[in-house]
Amino acid sequence: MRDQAAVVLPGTPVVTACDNLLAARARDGDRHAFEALVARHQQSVFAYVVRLLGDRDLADDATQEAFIAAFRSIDGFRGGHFRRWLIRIAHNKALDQLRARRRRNASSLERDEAPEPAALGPEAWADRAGLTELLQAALATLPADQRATVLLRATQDLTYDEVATVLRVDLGAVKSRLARGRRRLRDFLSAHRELLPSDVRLDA
Amino acid sequence: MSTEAPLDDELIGAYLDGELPPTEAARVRARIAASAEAQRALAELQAVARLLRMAPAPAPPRDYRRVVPAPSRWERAFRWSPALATAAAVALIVVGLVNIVGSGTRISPAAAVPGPPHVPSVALRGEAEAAPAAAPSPGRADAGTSVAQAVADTPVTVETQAATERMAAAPAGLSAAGVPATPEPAPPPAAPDIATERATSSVVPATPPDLKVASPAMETPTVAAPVAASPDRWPVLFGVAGALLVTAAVTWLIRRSR
Repeated sequence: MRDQAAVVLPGTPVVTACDNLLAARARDGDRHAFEALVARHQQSVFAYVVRLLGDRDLADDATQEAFIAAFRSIDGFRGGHFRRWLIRIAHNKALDQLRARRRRNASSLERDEAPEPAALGPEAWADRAGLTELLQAALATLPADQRATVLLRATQDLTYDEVATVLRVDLGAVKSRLARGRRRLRDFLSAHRELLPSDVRLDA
Repeated sequence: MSTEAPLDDELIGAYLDGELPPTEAARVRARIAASAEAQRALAELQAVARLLRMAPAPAPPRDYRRVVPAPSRWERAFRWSPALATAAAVALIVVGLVNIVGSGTRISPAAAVPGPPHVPSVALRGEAEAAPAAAPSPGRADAGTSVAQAVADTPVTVETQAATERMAAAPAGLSAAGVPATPEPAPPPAAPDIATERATSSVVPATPPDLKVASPAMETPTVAAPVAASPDRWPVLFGVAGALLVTAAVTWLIRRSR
């Protein structure tokens, strides 16, 4: 049981196998192994969290807390899919941040503060960085559960099953949230067609 | 055409995500090809997916490798505590057993001394021939300057002789496990002094065979009375060993549950 995380089943992707070996070493107290895991995943964890939260400062806090929590509970990683395990922790930390912000904003009855897309001119989307902002604005129109589902599927490359595991919902919920979330994104994008580069533009 | 599941965003999305089994995917592909509306829905979903993929991932504002807390002094100190406590407890139990066995065979004359409840078990060991030798000695203990001193000393010599021979491995494990922190390991260090002391005054330590050690030892004045001390001490040691084992188990459980 001790080395379950180090067991590499045939057919395991190399990336996952490396993660599991590093995790097993981290569990035995090897700090460098854990730091290697952080280095491998911080980009994708932060990307997920910042898009889920739509706020770099909150995302920074959530990412930091996620890695600290992962470090503390590495003993609880029993093998399997390390990135999924990590994303689940990050997801929960992000939700904590979201709840904290809601509490702070409770008086003002605000939902997630979405940047007002109409206020942004076309020049904002001229480059790819602008695309990031547009996507963020589009994501902000989604409820958090749909946003999380869409992001986990599209940017974390998780399968429906894995998304269901991370979010602790069933497969049907994943499918319906995904469909509804994508519909909203589509509506947003077609409402702002003029802002999009041609390869992303929705052609009616 | 919609005899099956409706060709809605959910199904088209699952098709796009490669979540459908091959046969179903082929059927959905055919259905999409037959429907202009479904084709448009697919194109829109693809555009959304493309945007999600193309938008550059926001770069982290810092390197999170630095946020991993350095193990605190406490964590470092307690990292090996379950192993240490277990090793210490096991070592104590081994030493205790060896000593009890040792005292049982050697100092069985204790039967003559009134008192300790474990005497019967000692007597059971059938060292009957040793008993007569012990008989004269209890009285003589009074003559000694300090009985307490003798009580502390004598069992140690007799016991450690046995102990050092029988558990050559055990003392090594004991010191390696870091046990010196606990008070119990006192006997081994104490032994050499007494042994040498005794070597100058009597013949006892020089004779290696067990049985021979027993009877000459009985003739030396200080030997017999102290016997009562060892039964008092070992329960304490076992208590400490048990406590260490419990500590180890609890620490281990806490660490796991974290």
